[in-house]
Amino acid sequence: MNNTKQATSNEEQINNDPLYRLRQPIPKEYLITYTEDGKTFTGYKAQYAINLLNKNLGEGGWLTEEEIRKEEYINNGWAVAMKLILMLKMTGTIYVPIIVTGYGGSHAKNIANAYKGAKTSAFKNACRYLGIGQELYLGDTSGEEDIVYEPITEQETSSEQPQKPEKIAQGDDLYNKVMKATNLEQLESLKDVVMAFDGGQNAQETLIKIYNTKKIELKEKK
Amino acid sequence: MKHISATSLKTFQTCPMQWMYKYDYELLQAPNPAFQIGSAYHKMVEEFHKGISVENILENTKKDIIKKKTNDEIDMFGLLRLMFVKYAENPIKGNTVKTEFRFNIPLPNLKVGLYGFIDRIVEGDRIVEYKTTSKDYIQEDVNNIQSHIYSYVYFKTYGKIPTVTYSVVNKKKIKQPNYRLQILEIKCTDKDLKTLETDCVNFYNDVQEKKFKANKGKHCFWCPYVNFCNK
Repeated sequence: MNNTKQATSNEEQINNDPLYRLRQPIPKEYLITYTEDGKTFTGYKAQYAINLLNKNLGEGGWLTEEEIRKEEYINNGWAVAMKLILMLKMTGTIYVPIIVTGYGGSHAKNIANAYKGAKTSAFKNACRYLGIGQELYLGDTSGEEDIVYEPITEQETSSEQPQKPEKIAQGDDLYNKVMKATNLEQLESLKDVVMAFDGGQNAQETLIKIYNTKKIELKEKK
Repeated sequence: MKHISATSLKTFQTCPMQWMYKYDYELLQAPNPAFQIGSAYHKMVEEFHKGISVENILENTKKDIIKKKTNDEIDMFGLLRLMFVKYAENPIKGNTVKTEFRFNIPLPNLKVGLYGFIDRIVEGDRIVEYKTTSKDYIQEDVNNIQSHIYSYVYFKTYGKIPTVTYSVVNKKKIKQPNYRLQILEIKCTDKDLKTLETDCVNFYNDVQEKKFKANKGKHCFWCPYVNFCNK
């Protein structure tokens, strides 16, 4: 009798708690194995986590915000490090937002692939804090490693020359001026130009983020 | 701090760290379409109450909004037209005393005053405030800092506590055939005005002492500075 009650209670928990549902073991068809430095690892396809969040929270129930932390051309390819904030709207009797942060990186010949890899890596890292794929990490013996590099399969592109992403390239001069500002006066003199930048919404948002990051850095140094 | 506005006080009460990033660090915010719609709608209603014809207001707004003929601009103007025409069909009546009334009222025991704009003042001690929203208002929503500040300003200017009327248009419902704008009213009390003075003093002191602790909550979801906040 008690066992039956217990089973029902567990089922109720699964049905009522979206977070609990996110933590269920990943089906085998979504698992992938890859080799890095001679070792074999088991990971999962990011699409699994995307489908899982859409299914449990609805398509408007979660969103991500990315911030490029580093972008560098090294070893014949692009290394990109990214911070990603994953925000969930949990609705129940009261409204409770859940926000987790993930970091990730990737290295690829094509910068677009490096961006995609870094985002996927940071996304999975953030998902880890929600318990998605926890069984894979529990089996990980690599210790406290938080940043998981995303293995990338890419085709050679027609252009051998590395290209800056379009969104930065359009505001290249402005981007460099913001990055090189050494004091608040210099930076603030660029404010109107940044706000009037006409390279598309995403490019402007990126520039504003870079400006704000620089401003915090200079303000706190002062 | 140069002055206290309704938005500034509300931001601080929601999250002191958000206030710090916005008003002390003066970080930039990406242009927000919701803000653009709100500003354009306010301007249309203001012109309407100055006696400009609906046709002329729509024509002028069209020129202001549609510059590159993008789908976003066309959609934005379409929405504004619907909202404004709906308001013009059933406006908040009364003889207009002032529109966009700018105030800068001193506060007792503080070096800074209350600053801002009141959308419209109507004869009979009534303030009218226009709101564009994506969610219907409830009565509780109008018992807010803005109502208290406007009532305080009116009281200090005219010696009477006004009725504050909110005309609320829901952008998500405007296409519904029988949709009507919400009208909500509030009359603040003497106690509300006293509480406001105390809130302003506390706010000013907290800012001087740099008490900018993050306050985690549902507002984090829309906070433009969430990625700079360790909470």
